[in-house]
Amino acid sequence: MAKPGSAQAIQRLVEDYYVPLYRYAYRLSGSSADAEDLTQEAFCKAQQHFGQLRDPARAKPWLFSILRNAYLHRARADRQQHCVSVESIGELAEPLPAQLPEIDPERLQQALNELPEAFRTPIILYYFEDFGYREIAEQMDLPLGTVMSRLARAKAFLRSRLVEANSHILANGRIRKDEG
Amino acid sequence: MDCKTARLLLDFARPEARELEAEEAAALERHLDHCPDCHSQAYNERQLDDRLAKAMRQVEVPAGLREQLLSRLETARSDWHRQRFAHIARLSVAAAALLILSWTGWYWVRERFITPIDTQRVADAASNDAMDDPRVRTERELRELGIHTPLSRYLDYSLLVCPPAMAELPGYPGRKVPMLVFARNGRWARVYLIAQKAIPEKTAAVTGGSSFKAMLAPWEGEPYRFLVIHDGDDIQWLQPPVAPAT
Repeated sequence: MAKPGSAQAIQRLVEDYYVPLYRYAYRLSGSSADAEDLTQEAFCKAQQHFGQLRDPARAKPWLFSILRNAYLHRARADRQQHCVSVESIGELAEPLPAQLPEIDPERLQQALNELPEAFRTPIILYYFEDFGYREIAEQMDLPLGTVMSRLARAKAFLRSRLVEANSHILANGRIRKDEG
Repeated sequence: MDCKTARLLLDFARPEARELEAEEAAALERHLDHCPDCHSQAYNERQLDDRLAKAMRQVEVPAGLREQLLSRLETARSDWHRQRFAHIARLSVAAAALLILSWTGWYWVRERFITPIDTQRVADAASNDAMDDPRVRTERELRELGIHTPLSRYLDYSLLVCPPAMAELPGYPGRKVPMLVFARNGRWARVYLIAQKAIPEKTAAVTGGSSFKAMLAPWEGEPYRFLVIHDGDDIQWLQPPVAPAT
């Protein structure tokens, strides 16, 4: 039974990281209730194992790692997640349109929910918390090349769901307007 | 730098998480300055990155989440302390129970398996002891009590009624000193061995109480003084058959 971290140290951790940690949990799980539970669980585990954090500068990746492990543990118990098959996630993407629309956060979450966790986590970390390739590789304990490949495919998937679909509609709308 | 290399390096050159060496980053920027196609792609990719990053961060954090987290963590800390206390208490109870069990077991074993006493053996040993010089025997018995001292020559140790024992010094509750008990013809005396440094220098040799008198045996440099408590006027009967010259 390891001694929990001091109240002051834990409070500092909470103040500094509860917002990004909650947002990460939400993007991972797709549910605000699950995100709250995961955030709480992550901080409780951090308090319990505070002695493992030797370098305060590593607090963020440490907390994110704890949260991701908690998420994976729950995800294994819940096998009803419906994700697209990995094979359908190609790496090649169409050239970007000149006019890039704003991306709706809710549609983004729907697209993220379709991604398997192995692709969802790196893309979230990449855009959400500006983790570099090496940090993501360390976080997920994967080779750098694997991380780069998954990121490229996840990014292409999000583009196809969020950007190219919109552009297609816009293009159709313009055509109909021209015809009209 | 060619276009293929430039496009491969684009993802490593994000402003938020630069992972290129300074030289590589500079070479990439130079290429983008001179290549309209790569520049256009870089611009579009970065624009997409900005859009996705912005949307990714648009998550509303529930009101009160911070307070809820801190409260839950405080509860967890209290639970840890309570469990630790209970754990220590359980260990203490277990240790006490083990101690009691051990003592009970030892006592039971002792009572069940006590060595039978051979009275002939007792009589033989007592007879052997009686053959020892009383003074030598008494010094040995004192050593068994942890008292190492030569005995005063002014006392007849054949008059001892029992082996020396630790006893409370009259007038000093809780203070135990070696005691010798002498008896002869209805008269008796108790002799207390007091450490020499505990007797002040100018203490009178004889002091009298209402019923008993106290006499310090002459001192010949022993580490202990011999304080004789008796009920008579004199203690000549305590002296050995051939009194030493004074």
